[in-house]
Amino acid sequence: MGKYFGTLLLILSNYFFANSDPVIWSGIGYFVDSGKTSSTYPNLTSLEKDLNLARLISDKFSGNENIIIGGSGNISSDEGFNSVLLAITSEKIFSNYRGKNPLDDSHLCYRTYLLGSQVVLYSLNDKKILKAFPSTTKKTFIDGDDKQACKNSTVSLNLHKARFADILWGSDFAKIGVGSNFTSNYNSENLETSGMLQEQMEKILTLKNVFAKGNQPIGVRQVSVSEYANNQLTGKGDFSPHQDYISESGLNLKELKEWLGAEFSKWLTQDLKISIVPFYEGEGLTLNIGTTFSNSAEALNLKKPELSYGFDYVLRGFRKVDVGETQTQKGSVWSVYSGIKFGVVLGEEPEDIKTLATIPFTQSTAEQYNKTDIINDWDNFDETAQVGIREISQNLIKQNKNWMKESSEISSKEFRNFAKTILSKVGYEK
Amino acid sequence: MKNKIKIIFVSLSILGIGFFPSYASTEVVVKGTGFNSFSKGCSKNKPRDKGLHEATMEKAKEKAWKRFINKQEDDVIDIYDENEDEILENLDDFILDMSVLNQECDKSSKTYELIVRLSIDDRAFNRFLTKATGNTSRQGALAGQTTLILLYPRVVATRIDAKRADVTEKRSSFEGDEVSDVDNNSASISERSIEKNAIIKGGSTTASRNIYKIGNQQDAQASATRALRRFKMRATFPANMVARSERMGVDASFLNTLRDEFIQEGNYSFNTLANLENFSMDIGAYQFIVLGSIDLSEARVDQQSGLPRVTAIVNIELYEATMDGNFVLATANESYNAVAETQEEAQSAALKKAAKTAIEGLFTQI
Repeated sequence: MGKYFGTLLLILSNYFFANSDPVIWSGIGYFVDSGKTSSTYPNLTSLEKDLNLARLISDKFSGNENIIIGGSGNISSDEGFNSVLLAITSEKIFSNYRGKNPLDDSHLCYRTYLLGSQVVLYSLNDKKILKAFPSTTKKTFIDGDDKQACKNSTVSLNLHKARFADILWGSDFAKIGVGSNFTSNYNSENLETSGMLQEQMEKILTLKNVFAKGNQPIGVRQVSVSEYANNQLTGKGDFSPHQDYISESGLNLKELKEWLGAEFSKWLTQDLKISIVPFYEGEGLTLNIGTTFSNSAEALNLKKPELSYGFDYVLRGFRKVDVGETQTQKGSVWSVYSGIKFGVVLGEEPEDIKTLATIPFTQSTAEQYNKTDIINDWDNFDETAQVGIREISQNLIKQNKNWMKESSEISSKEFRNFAKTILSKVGYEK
Repeated sequence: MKNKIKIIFVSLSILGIGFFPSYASTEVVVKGTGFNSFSKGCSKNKPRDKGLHEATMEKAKEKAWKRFINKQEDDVIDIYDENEDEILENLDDFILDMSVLNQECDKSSKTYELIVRLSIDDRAFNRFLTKATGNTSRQGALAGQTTLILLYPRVVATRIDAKRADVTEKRSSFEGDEVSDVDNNSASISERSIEKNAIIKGGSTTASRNIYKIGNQQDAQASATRALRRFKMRATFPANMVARSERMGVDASFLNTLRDEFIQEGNYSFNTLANLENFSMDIGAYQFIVLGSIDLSEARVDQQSGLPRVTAIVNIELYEATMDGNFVLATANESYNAVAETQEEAQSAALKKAAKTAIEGLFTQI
């Protein structure tokens, strides 16, 4: 009997060492500086209530033994269990007038919706973020508003919310003229796997719990934009100002950096199979996360753990080359010059890093298009930057000969050595 | 069923002592870099020299700890400084975890570098400081009082050597014995003496003298302020007094004379001291004066660490400024040493340590 009991204990202890304790689902949160939740996220905070998102997710988790449903004040957190929440990290709408459609002379008003979220595992007792899994989605809708009406404010709040709901659901319900009953389109039964909500819930369901101590936090430490790129983005170079990041007060670098940081984090998480501490361009390290659960709102001051290893992303510049044309068509190549740096993070200042790897690269994308098409260079550059971030991340795992030849600005040997250093430091396992 | 599972999880986790981290602690993470040169090459990215890896690790740990201390508020640093030796002796009590983030054994430059990550138990550190503060919180009577700081840090700019000459001096001395002669009716004392002559050769005809240049007054003033803060006192400086005296129509030019005397003559004159006394009575803005100099030596090599080592010699007086005059309460003639990477850093560290400790000592004496 004793032998069986011993075996049982051994099995159970292994089970515990594997960090399989349940986590507490504590709802939906928002990354904000201080009490600005509804002004920073006007659509998502409202949509959360309209669709009762916290309840919907709770119901999905209710049958799972590894998830304890409860607010952060639940007694379980006193027992030392970690908590998990879905944090909304960015909500942006960009409206850009692109002229008239040459086919039917209709106005082209491009409205792009950007939504960023992160599954955040945290220790309530230590007030510390332990793991984060980012996801960002951009979805563009073409409306028929004329130049004057092509603004965010000319669209009803319900339509904005419906479009964000489409991003969450992976659906395509949002149409002009949606009324307040648009919410009936969205329910727990029609969540698509391509939607952000399902994607993030899957991450929560397969989350491997960790203890507050003993793991080395890795994250995107810094995103920087060179002066040259900055000038190009503000229209002082070869291109008009970037439509999404220019406001009356100038270039909104914070938004640009957070988008690039989120993209970089997303691919690193996915390819290197590691959790990434969220990149957030804020003052200091303290993040206020307002959680909503069971009609209670609470502000948590979670601290980003001090990174042991950090990735920097540097945006160096943009270049467009026309590569030929016929009577009706034209071809162009858009190149984004960028680079990544990896090292041991020594402190909080930008220079507080012991650099272990530096990889500059140039990503290019080409497109052949009709001369009558309206081409937006910045859309192409944004896409190219995204491709570059994805490629560099994937090439760290397995070097693609073509990419190495065409895009990497260092020798294959050097790249391999840097990749080896990075993978060994982050503890990459195939 | 689910509830049952939850209960099992909770109770087993309690049984599983050691699985959960101690939530009673708050953790602060700092990093430090250690650096050393080696002579015997590398093996498995470590130097072959015996003990060098451990010594470098210790250096990195010290650097990380220094970073942690530098992040603290001034008043915490004050208490830490007073208890530094004890804390360093028990450093491991405050460290929850230490891990190596990077190590590089560079064969070409023959250098070894280690970066460590230290998790510090902030709560244990604060608990220690609270206990230490309880032992030292006193001198409540001094709280709120103001002290005029006339502190002149100096480094030798020029040394004028004594003119040496051989001088022969004849000196006579007497050795005497008392002889008492006492009888029933009288008493007499007679003296028996022997004259001795001695000839002394050598010596100097003129005393050697230093011409100083002023050291970093900001460092001195900042340290003095910190020393006073321990007693909840305020500091005021010559610049404040000049501004105040202008408003009150009082002559404060003697403050410049006082500084010049310290730099050129080596010490204040009695005339200037008298002016300071009158000034105190006229202005009446402070209750104490700290007056004196801190002389900083040139750096010499510290035998243990091989780094520059500087000595600061303090010569200061504490006066009580009353309506009846200035009265000396305490004096300090002490020396302090500091070792740092460069001469400038060592001088700065020695000055700060000397100013703070000596001034604290003066007020502790009264």
